[in-house]
Amino acid sequence: MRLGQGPLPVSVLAAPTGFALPTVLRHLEVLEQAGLIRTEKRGRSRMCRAVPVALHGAADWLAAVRSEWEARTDRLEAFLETLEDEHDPEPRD
Amino acid sequence: MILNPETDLELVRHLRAAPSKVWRCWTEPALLEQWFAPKPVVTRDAKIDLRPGGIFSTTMDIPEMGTQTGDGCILEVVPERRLVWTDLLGPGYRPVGDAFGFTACILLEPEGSGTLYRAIAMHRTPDQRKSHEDMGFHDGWGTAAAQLDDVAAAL
Repeated sequence: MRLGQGPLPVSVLAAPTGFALPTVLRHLEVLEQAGLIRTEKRGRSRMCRAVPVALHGAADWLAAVRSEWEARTDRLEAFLETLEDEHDPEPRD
Repeated sequence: MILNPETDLELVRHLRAAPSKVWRCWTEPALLEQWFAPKPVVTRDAKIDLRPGGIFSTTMDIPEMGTQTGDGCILEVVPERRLVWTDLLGPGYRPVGDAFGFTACILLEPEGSGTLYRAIAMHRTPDQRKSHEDMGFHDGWGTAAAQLDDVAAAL
């Protein structure tokens, strides 16, 4: 849950759990394999960040399709503007 | 048309262009290809046979993802007013098994010197849709969505 605010080093994530670092690392490995988080070595610490897309469920699916339609209509509108000065738009290709 | 808020969406906008122009942009392949997908995706080989049972097809080249072709079947054509098609059927009303599963309606009405533009997209019920998401069919429509925010400004 804490990764919602941004990436954190594994040591910071592990501290409040009371588990040993190797145990925490094994748990994180499972989450990473599931595509829920990404980790990368940065200097001496391993940074952990959430992968928001993987958590998107059915509720977000329609929102994604809607944003696609919204953007498509934006593009149609912008394209129509380029035709605005012509009386009879010819296909450009 | 009865919409299900869990599976359907309706988008309503006023466009400055007249219905005749909006219609051409939706129905002439050479025009459609210029705005249908967000850059850098390239839409090509659009096929639109404007009659019930006619083909509505686009092919998209998506960088680093490959090529995706969507073949649909036109259901209804009222020139400059109404275009309805689905991907649940192929050209000639032939049922297809591997569709994402939508019916789309583009509705145009004159409004002032412009157009009252409505786009309606109806989809499968969540359960039916889920099985197709699991099979990976979601990608066809979802892929482009991620790029849209960056791209809209550039257009």
